[in-house]
Amino acid sequence: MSNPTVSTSHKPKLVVVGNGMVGHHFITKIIEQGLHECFDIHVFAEEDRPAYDRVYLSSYFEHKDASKLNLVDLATYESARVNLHLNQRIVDIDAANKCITTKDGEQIGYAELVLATGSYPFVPPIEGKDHPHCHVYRTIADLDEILAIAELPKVKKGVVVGGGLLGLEAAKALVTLGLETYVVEFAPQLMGVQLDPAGGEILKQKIEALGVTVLTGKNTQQIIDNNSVQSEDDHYLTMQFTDETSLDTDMIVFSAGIRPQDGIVKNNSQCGVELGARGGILIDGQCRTTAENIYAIGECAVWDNKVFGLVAPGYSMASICAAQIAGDTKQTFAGADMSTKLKLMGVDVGSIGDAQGKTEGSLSYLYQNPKEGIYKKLVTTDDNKKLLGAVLVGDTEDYNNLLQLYLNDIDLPAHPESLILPNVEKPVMGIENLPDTATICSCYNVSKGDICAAVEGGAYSIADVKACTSAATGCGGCAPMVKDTLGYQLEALGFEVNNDLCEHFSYSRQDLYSLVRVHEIKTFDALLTEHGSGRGCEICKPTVASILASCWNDYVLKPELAPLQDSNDYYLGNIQKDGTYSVVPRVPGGEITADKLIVLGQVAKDYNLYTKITGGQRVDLFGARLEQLPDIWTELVQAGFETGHAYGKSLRTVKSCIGNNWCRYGVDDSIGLALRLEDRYKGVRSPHKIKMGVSGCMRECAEAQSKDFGMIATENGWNLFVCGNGGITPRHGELFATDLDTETLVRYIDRIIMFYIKTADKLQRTSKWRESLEGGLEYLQDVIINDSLEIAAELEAQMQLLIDNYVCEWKETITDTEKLKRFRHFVNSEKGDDNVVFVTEREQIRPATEAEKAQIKTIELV
Amino acid sequence: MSQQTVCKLHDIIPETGVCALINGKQVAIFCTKQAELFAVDNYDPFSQANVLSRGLLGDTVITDHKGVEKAVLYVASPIYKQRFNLATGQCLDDDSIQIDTYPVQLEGDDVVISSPLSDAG
Ligand code: SRM
Ligand SMILES: Cc1cc2nc3c(=O)[nH]c(=O)nc-3n(C[C@H](O)[C@H](O)[C@H](O)COP(=O)(O)OP(=O)(O)OC[C@H]3O[C@@H](n4cnc5c(N)ncnc54)[C@H](O)[C@@H]3O)c2cc1C
Ligand code: SF4
Ligand code: FES
Repeated sequence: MSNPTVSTSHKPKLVVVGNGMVGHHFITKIIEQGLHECFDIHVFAEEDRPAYDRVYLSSYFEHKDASKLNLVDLATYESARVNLHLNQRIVDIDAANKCITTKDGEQIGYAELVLATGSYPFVPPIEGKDHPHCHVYRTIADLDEILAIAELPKVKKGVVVGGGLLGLEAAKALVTLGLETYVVEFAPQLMGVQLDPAGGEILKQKIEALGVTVLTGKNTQQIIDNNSVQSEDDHYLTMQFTDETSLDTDMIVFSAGIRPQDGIVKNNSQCGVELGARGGILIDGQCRTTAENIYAIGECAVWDNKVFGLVAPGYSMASICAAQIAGDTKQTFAGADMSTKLKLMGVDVGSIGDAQGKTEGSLSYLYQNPKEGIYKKLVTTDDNKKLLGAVLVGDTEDYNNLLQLYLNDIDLPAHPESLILPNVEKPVMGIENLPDTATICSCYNVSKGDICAAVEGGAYSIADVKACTSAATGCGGCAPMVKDTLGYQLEALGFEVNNDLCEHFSYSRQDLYSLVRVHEIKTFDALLTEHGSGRGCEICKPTVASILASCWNDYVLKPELAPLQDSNDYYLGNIQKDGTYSVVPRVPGGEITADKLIVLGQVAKDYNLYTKITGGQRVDLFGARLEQLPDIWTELVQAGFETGHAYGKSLRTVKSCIGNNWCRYGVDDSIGLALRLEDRYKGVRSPHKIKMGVSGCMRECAEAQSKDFGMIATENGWNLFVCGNGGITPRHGELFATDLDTETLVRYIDRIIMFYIKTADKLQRTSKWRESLEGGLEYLQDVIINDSLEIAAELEAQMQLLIDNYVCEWKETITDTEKLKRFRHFVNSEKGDDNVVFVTEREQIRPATEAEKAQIKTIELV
Repeated sequence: MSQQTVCKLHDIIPETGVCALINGKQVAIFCTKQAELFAVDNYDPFSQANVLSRGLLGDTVITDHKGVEKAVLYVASPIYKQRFNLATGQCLDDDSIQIDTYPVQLEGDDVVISSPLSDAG
């Protein structure tokens, strides 16, 4: 590289010291912000290679291919004119004159200086520590040296000094290299920072079971060089401990902690950059040091008396620092969560927050399974409400769940211990329960909201989400949650994660619909033979049944269609929790005569059914046993009732207000229109249920704007609203057309329903369908009103076929003795199900609980 | 072991089930298009209701403990949709749950079930 002092540019200089993980991340942020256009950028790196992934350093022992760890795309650096000076340690800073000095004595001026020098491994001051068989574990160069020694023929044994995270990782590496491995820890337990003593003990047992000897409470006093190795049994070194014991070994790896790399500042007390009490470069929330125009980021920095030995907080600092230099002072560093989950030598370990239970008044819950080597601990506030910390050894399945509870300060369930006990149904923190601000990827500080926004912006695969947000590209611990968030958001947007209907059909619902129509397929078997595989399942059978009904509107209980129907469609009622059914007769528009009301009441009374006025302006009768359904419906049909299709994916109710017949404000006959629409579309099978509402004026008493189709009377006709939804994700209907006369209105609805049936996914309400339409409302208006696809006539004809083929399924069923046979609980007995038991509450029946059933049984026995 | 004739083959619509009362116990009997018969408990341990005979039949490919893939026929409960292997009673959605199965065969046109339950029920 050219002499750094010679620069042809007149732009101010941005100088970065260190090209480690954080220094490199800073450069990417600078380029992202376009700051390379404003600055002449120079990076000085002590190592002889561009930044690499230190987090995965240990994998180098497996592949020995440094390029696999590389983080820097040199072409990107080059095109942004970033000057990378490798092998150039910086030795001095002169803040007064705004310049730095390289190890070769060259001086470079700067406008802005960023220190990203990371940290160095701490080696305790033990006599003999500089022996050529003693190493540290931080850089690729360190690993090359360790490899060289381990390959010497007489090297058989290795010792790691330090039983923390990195020490255990180093120990794993020595095992991989085939050495008899020891871990020597000064403290009485392993992983003292993250685990409590009991957790450390379980970890020790598990690691020892893997053949590594762990010595805790050992203080090394001296390392003796055994000079020459005479025989097979001799070792290069002997470690002498303060308790007078000793240990022979052939090599030692020190992993006794890290110290911030603050050498350039420490050696020069006049440079104006202040250090923390225990070393490290002091920074404020904007990553500024005490000297003007000098910043520090990553492991060399001290914020609020803390050094962060993880890459995620370093990355946050890098972003904040880049923003700061770009003039955006709003972002500030506010600390970082140091919770960790990892697999150490095959042992799962997790630590969250205050793992040691040091918070005053905190409570601890423990679960210990010595046989399987599992240890779990929860630390909660004194009132049991919030999680303060957790320790998980041997089983970290609960980690993500607990971490979200901890990070988002979510209230704990009544019995917090249930969160760590085995075989207990756990209240899982589903993605849907998390606030948008919840951090999903802590390495890159990516929130649920960030991922959802990326998905909304078109990132429909894990790969896209990773590329857009960087989530799951660091330690990878968040990958399952990133995947869940993607799935959650795709679903929220109305997508199927995989559009194949199920394992029997590799087609979407829309594709199958076209196949059925184009090839005039009338049975499930024909479709399965020609376009599917296997025998079918509970997903494809009802879906295909619905498609066949949408296309041909055959009676749903024809023998070849019957086995496809979900229990609800099969028995023409909604199954309840105890196996009984509900009975919902159609009450169009909610208008009902006194005589019919009396019939409903009489039937309910005769069969002892629970009655309730539904949210859809009709009456639901609950608690009908399978064998009672035909008799109940015979009476209802005789009185002029039809099925309400409460069980079907089809038109439910057309809710209506009272309209201009009675209401002093009504401008049109809402009930009249509701009756006409309900009569027209009843029984039409669709991808999901359809609801309508008609209001007689803009006061909107029928809540029509929350329905799939909403009509509101105006002085000049009807305003049509489409694709509204109550339910899980409420959505206001959108104004589709105004002041329509009734005929046009009905034509538009015919077309929209058929277009929805043709193009929607399985179980997709019109609201989600509408959101999935590219081109949005305008496109839909174009297709329906302007007939842009020239299918309007076809859609209307198809709807007419369905309307013409309508039969009341109950009317048809009760006249067919063959079909009535299926409405028996037992094929070989007239008895009923003795497990259906009711108790009385508020003067009506309800299913008995298991406890109540047991009580009733004992009473009977007595 | 008692033998009981439950019904005629044509009493079961192919690809659906019926429920039989055998010595006081509720047994769900299914019949495929190929007239294969299966009998399992009618009691759904998840919903604690006697409903499995009203579930939908399906098949799926599972990998057994030896890593071998095979197709299994199952019934999905109509209440919360858990699936049960018709041949073994094993729940496909929860390893810890298995329901009882009963030998059932066709004798002429009769569906005959051999039930280990005593007549005392
Ligand atoms: C009976 C009723 C509650 C009541 O007592 O008022 C009811 C009961 C059920 N609703 Fe509902 N819903 C009832 C009005 C509603 C309403 C209000 C309305 O229609 O004005 C809504 C919100 C409006 C909407 O749909 O946009 C509603 C939103 C849902 C949802 C969520 C749908 C969504 O798009 O998010 C489900 C679940 C589903 O369909 O997947 C559901 C599902 C169910 C099921 C079918 C659940 C089930 O599978 O067992 C319940 C069946 C009861 C039965 O056996 O008859 N029910 N349900 C209401 C029947 C109205 C009727 O006369 O047909
Ligand atoms: C084996 C191992 C496993 C790890 N596992 C994890 C993990 O699972 N999760 C996690 O979050 N973190 C992990 N870490 C820590 C993570 O690697 C660090 O947090 C991260 O590398 C810090 O980045 P940095 O840029 O601040 O420091 P570094 O990556 O150390 O980069 C600093 C760079 O600056 C250079 N430098 C120093 N002084 C000068 C100078 N005067 N002039 C020029 N250059 C200089 C250094 O040579 C170095 O290349 C692990 C670390 C190791 C060693
Ligand atoms: S709100 Fe839920 S519980 Fe109530 S009727 Fe609707 S689905 Fe059932
Ligand atoms: S938390 Fe580490 S990659 Fe997301």
